[in-house]
Amino acid sequence: MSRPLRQGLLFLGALAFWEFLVRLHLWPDYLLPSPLQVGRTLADGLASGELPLAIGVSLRRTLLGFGLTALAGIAFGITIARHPRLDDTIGSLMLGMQTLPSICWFPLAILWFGLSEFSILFIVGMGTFFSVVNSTVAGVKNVPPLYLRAGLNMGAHGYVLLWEVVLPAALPSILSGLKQGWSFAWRSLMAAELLFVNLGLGHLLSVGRELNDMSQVLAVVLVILIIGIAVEMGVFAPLERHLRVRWGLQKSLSSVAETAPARS
Amino acid sequence: MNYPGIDPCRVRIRGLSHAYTNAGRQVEAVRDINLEILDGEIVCIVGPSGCGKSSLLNLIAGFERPRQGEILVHGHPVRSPGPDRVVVFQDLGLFPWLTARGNVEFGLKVRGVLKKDRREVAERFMQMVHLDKFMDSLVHELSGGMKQRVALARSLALNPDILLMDEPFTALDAQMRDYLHLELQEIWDKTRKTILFVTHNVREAATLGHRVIVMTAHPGRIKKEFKVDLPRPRHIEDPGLIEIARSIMEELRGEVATAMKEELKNE
Ligand SMILES: Nc1ncnc2c1ncn2[C@@H]1O[C@H](COP(=O)(O)OP(=O)(O)OP(=O)(O)O)[C@@H](O)[C@H]1O
Ligand SMILES: [Mg+2]
Repeated sequence: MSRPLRQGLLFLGALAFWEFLVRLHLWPDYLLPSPLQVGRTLADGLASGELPLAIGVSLRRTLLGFGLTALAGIAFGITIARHPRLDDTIGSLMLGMQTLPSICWFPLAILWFGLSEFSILFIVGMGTFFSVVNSTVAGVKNVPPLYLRAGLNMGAHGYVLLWEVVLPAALPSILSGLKQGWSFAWRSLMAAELLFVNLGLGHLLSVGRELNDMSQVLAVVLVILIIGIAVEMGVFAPLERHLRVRWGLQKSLSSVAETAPARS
Repeated sequence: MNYPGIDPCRVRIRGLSHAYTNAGRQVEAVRDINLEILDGEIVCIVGPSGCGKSSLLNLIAGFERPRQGEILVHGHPVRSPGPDRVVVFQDLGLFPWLTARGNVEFGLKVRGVLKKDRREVAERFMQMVHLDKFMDSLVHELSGGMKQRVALARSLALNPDILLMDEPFTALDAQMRDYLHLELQEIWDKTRKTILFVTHNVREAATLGHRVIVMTAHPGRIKKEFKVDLPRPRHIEDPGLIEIARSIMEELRGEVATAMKEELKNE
């Protein structure tokens, strides 16, 4: 059985189980609507333009907040990694900051920037920033010294060395930070939109709650889930696969152990 | 033939001593090395493990600054690493994110050579090491011997004045090593590069070198020098060569014993 087929069957199974629960009539309709009902709400939302608008707004916010802070995070991470003094001061602070859920920045953002678009970007960015910084620092510090020597030896210095050797060597680590940063960004955006009264998917979710419209709540949750999965499977998974192949990291543990001493 | 103002030596090392600071302790690596390498000469260095062979190579490559003495390359003191002195590392250091071609072109790209010209040079040197069919292979798709040859091609593509090779063939099986000995001699015949070649293997040294230098155990000093005047291409099993290798081994044996004793004492 092929993978998409298996995944499709799993999905259908989940739907059937949901329908089964509904048919048991354990909960009233307005607490557990049927898949069909949710599907209709979804279709209505898409047709009326309400959902596409919310999706657009949310994606734009995530992309902007994530994109800008990811770039800043990579630059900052490289700077830290290359200066031991910064690393043992700011570096350890960054590790600590990563444990802070980024929605904790919410009150601060409101007080500093008011109920503005910038506040949302700030919260989203705080979700991204620290994981990207930390993974970049780890990646750059773990570049094998041999690669640096080889690069220097062939005449690469300064920014050329950074661009042609350090960054590619650190890329697998940076990518895993980006992936984590994206998922933090997406989660903090939803949290922020739930709290702000302002367009976006999280906002639709909170409207659904206020109207006691379970069908809308579930429809929006589905959309949020689907977008999350789509980015993971459509963007990060293929990128990671590509890097693993390219960097030769794809061997299983046992085959690596066999070839480790590099003797033939 | 000494022309005034022109140094006939590619590399001139005078009174070179170097030590590392290891956890507060001074570890002497090499002491009072005096060595001259002529243009187009292959000099092999043998010595017991830990006697400072790699250190000497790293000093010439410019990765380390010497504590004492000086290294002149064509009359200019070495200050930093540079593409005129290319190292073929024991662990190669090929970049896995690039193809074989990408690796061979790397130094030229850094230098700003145009893509078209880079391709041409890469093709020429990949042909020289008989790997032109593997231009677009990724590094981890190549065998150990092929990687070794890509590393060699990468270094040659930079057209360095000096090739510094640190035990490049140690990790290979005997057949591959013999093959690369022939290939290296063939390449030398075509390019007449100055080569400093470090090895543990006395016969390998006698096969490749015009001169073989024996170093003492820790700290490394030059103990004795052998000239190898045999016709090329030489093969590691040539009878005349085995004779010379035996006398080099004689010289080396005592040093290896000293090095072993010292290592055991440290434990
Ligand atoms: N980067 C370093 N820092 C501290 N000590 C070093 C460093 N590199 C080498 N040494 C020390 O210098 C001495 C010479 O080492 P080196 O690697 O030059 O020996 P070698 O002759 O190349 O040995 P081998 O044949 O095993 O490769 C050793 O005692 C080693 O511990
Ligand atoms: Mg060594």
